[in-house]
Amino acid sequence: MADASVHRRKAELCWALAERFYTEKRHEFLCMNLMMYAVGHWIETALAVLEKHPSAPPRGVPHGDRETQMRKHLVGGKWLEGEAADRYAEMVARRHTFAEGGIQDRPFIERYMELARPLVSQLQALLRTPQFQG
Amino acid sequence: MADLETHHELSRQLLTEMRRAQEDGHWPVVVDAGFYAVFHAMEALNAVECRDAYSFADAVDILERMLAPRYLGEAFVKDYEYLFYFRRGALYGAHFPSAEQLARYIAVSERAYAHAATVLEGQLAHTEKGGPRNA
Repeated sequence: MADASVHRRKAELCWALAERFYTEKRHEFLCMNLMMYAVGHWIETALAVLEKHPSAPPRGVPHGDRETQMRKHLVGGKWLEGEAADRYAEMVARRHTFAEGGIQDRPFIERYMELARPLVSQLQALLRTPQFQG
Repeated sequence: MADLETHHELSRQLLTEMRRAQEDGHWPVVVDAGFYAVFHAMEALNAVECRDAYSFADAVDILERMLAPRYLGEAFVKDYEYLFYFRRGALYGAHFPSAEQLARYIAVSERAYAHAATVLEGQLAHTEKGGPRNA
């Protein structure tokens, strides 16, 4: 598992690339993934500080437990509002890794960015607080 | 979970994006696009026979039990596993890939994609001639 500082670096790198892909209207599938990686790493930065990393399912990647841990420790601990976890769950649900409904297009990614931005702002604000500074 | 043409087209696009990201020095995009180019080529091959993977565990089960014995072979399975776990470690885990590691990853992505695309074209040509898809 990565530690908090690695998660933070990866989140910032992926978000910078996501914003670049979004602005330059580059490939929407990759832009969507970059947004998800950034948000996931910011959530895991906070969870890592609290020593509450999510696990991964067999032969899978660590998405499922991330929401559970986020709700229990970040929302339950009053660090974030429940709305932030709802927004994250919606990002996971709308992400079509398996190309359900076709290849992502510009209207899709605009809606996805609209969904992601408030959560990104909330996570960035949380991680600027003294408790979450490494 | 899409039709054959969607997977096939997405696969082609992502291979192009991997090459572009390599030139741009965007390693997370190289890693993501390289893996998914191969993944969607594999899914296109599944779609020829009306199959879909609903998860990564599902995808590797189908690969090992159906695609490898019939079409893709063991060398492809090893390439796919290498790409899957490299992507997981680089994008989700603690690792930052070196230039040498990325170069190898790109070479494996190119090789796996080319193999899957060749097999897919063969299956499509066979189907168009009216033959069974698993002859």
